[in-house]
Amino acid sequence: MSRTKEIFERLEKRLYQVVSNLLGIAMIALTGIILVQVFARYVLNVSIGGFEELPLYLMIISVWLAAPFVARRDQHVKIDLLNLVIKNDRVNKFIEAVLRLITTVALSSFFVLCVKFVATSRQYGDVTPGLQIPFWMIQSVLVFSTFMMSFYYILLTIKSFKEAIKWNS
Amino acid sequence: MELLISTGLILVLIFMGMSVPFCFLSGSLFYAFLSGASTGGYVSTAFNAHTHGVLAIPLFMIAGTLIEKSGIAKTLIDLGELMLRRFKGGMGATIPVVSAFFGALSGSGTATVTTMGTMLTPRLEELGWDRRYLSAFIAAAGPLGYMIPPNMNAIIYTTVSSASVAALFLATVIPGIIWLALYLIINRLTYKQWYKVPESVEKQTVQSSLNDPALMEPVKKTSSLSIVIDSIPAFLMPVIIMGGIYSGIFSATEAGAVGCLYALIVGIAYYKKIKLRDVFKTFLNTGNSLGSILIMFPMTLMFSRILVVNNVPAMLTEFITGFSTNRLVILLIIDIVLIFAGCFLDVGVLLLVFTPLLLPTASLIGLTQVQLGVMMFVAVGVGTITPPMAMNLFIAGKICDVELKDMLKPLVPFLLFAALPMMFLVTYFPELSLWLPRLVLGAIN
Amino acid sequence: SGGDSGDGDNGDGGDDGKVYEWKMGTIYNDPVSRPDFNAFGESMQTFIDLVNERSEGRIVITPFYNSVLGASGELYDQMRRGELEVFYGQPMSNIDPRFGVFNLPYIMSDYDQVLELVANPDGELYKLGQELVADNGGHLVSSGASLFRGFFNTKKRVATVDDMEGLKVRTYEDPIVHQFWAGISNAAPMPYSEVYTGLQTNAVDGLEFAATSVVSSKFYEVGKFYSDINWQWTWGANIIISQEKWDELPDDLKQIVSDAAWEAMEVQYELESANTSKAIDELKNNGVEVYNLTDEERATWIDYARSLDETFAEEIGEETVQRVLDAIASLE
Ligand code: NA
Ligand code: NA
Repeated sequence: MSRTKEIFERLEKRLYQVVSNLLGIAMIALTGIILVQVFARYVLNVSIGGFEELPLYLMIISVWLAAPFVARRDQHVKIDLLNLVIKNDRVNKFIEAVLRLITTVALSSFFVLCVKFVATSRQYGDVTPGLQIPFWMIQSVLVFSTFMMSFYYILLTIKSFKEAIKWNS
Repeated sequence: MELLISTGLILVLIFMGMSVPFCFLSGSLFYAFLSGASTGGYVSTAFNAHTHGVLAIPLFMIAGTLIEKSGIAKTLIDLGELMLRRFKGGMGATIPVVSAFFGALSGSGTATVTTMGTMLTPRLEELGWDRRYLSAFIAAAGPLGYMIPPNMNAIIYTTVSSASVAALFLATVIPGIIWLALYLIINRLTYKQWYKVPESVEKQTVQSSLNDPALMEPVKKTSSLSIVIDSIPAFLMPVIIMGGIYSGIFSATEAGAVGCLYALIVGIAYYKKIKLRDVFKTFLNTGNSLGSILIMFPMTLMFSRILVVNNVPAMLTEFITGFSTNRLVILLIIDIVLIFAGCFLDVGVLLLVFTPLLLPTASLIGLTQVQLGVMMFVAVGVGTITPPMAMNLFIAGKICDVELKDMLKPLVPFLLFAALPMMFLVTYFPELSLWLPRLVLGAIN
Repeated sequence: SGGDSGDGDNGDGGDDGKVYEWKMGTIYNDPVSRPDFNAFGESMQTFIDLVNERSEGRIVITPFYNSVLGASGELYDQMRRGELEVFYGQPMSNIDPRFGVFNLPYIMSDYDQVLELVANPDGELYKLGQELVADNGGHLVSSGASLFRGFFNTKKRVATVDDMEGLKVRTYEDPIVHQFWAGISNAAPMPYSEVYTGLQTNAVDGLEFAATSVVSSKFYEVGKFYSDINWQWTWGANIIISQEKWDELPDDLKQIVSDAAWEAMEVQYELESANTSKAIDELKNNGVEVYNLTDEERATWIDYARSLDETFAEEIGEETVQRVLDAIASLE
């Protein structure tokens, strides 16, 4: 049991590193392309053609790739108000568990919607105006992202329910 | 009815501490569940939420970090201290002044709070300033980071309105300077309760001819002249960025990338502060934080679309004008709505959800999109320091290691006598916003 | 699906009691807040008013102007997926490259041709449009005369293709528009909201635009030259209903919708042609030099456009282009 857990954790850490580095590279590429675009237009009087659209798609991909790793640590923007109002740790843990459960349900429903959406996009076969990249390929990042987020929130939910129950006994 | 319940659910979930983007997602899904409306458009909306203008956010975030790492930010602080050493109210005044300096280079209030918090707090604390005061003041001064152009929020605002970035950048300059002046006055009047002469300084002061220890200039190792010379590349930066935008060389979004390049070059070649390893790390960290900042856009836009489809903007117009047909009263109601919403909602939500909601009302009472924009930006600034959802307080508190509840007391004067009055100033004196863009551009569309 | 009788009995069976609540989305302006020079908005509102009135409440369409439901491509996509019932506007060529055929430069010579071939239930090109839209999840109910686009700029009188050299021209994400202008000028895409100040700050020198749009966007405040190059007729006035929503409509309502859609297009044409001459006057009154090309000058543009035919035909598809060329040839 702990052996599989260990393997899983290592795998997960590896994935995080890979995605992290990808994000760094995407950000550099995004900035670089925009600079090249300014230079080409202003100095060389030419346009960089279809590449102009690339920074936007790089950003979209980055956002959705990064979101699960913020979810993993449950660090999406939120208010810490309840801790000030309710002083009972057990109650707070329980509320946290319920909120995480709601998040899990919402994210996994959204994951299903994303899968359906990308499937129809594939049928339509639309491509981006500039580089003619099939849209469904870019949109697939939503499937990956919502899957990973749902997955992490399942883990977070289980964890906080366990903690809430532990306090109970 | 279903809409009201869903909106209520979102607010309750936010209050209870659920991650804000997922509160909106849950609210949207719950609405569909209650009303039987289709969820088929949700993913399309989410995917299309990031438009070209949003690119400004990562670019300005990266630029902000590079400005800090390059040594430009440190120069600005040195210069601010140099300028203000004889100013009543002491070094506390460096907070809004340097925030405004930094604002001329950066487009983001968040980056301003982060940089000021990291770089100013240790220096000022050493001089005897109370952390609680510092963190609250730094949080309150954050909006100066975008009120002084470039302004990332203005770029986001153009994605939901038809105002132009060039006009919006100029529109916030005068309100920004007034805001800065108000902060200086408040600091001057209140600093004494938050300032205590540290023992090391006290001894020197006894022999010094100065009566007010807060006037004490910090121990200077470098000469004034070298500080001024060192700050030249820093001041060249806004010249290049604003000059580039207003001479049509690059767009406001592209200016973010140019800012990155400039900070990199200056940091490597002039200040010799940036290491290549740091550069990659800067880009990587920005990529990571995009996941929490920009995920807000798709999640809130889904719900915003639901509001639009259900004609909430028109209903809101009817509701507001139902109170009164007096333009001044309607403006007051808009202000109250924005201030109230700012307590609970994040910057992105405020701009993206409320702009489309308010546009019909604005057009009805002849409020220009530029002025509405400035009102939105001030509201966003107020929102970042009004709990429970107060991004600037969170960040400043985290960096300065001060609890939120301890920041409230020093914050109150800044909020009541500067931030909120600014809201009413830009609402009732449109010329504060419109005069400069008209002067520079000739006309505003 | 039944509904063979309509004796007024609002029973459970059939769909005679059903109310169709539709959303109609467009990028064009709301005619209430922008009443002047807004033929597209007016015609869309006409369609909605007619349908809502004649169907006696069986169809209720709510308009969403100003891109509040998304940009053009997104709106079409929502329509095709059945999330948006009605779309008013131009099907973009990234949905289907064949849509580009209607926007080929200098393919339509004047409104008479457009009225004959496109803005006409029996028009050869309306039928082609209907086929193409049907392949992309929609039912093209009607097509309008739309408009021709000239060239507006801040720098100089533009008469021939050569005058474009060195001018910075605003384009948008459409392959035909972009390639056409990139071949003769320094062309770069720019969001529409930035054009006004872009002209002020010299970020751009000019853009291809209809005279009516130059007036309604007040670009005459910042630029002084307009030429009626009429380089492109745009396929911009179309009422498209999501195929599944169209199919579920009983025949009598289909008739009401179709009639209203064609009447709306008549309104679009009448307003646009009246507005165009009004707009030209308005431009002149505001100190804009309006230049009408001579035949020789126009020929330089047409020659340039024909030099691009092969490239565009390859992107659009030879077969589709040929059908359009044949239809035009059959008129002569
Ligand atoms: Na700024
Ligand atoms: Na707040």
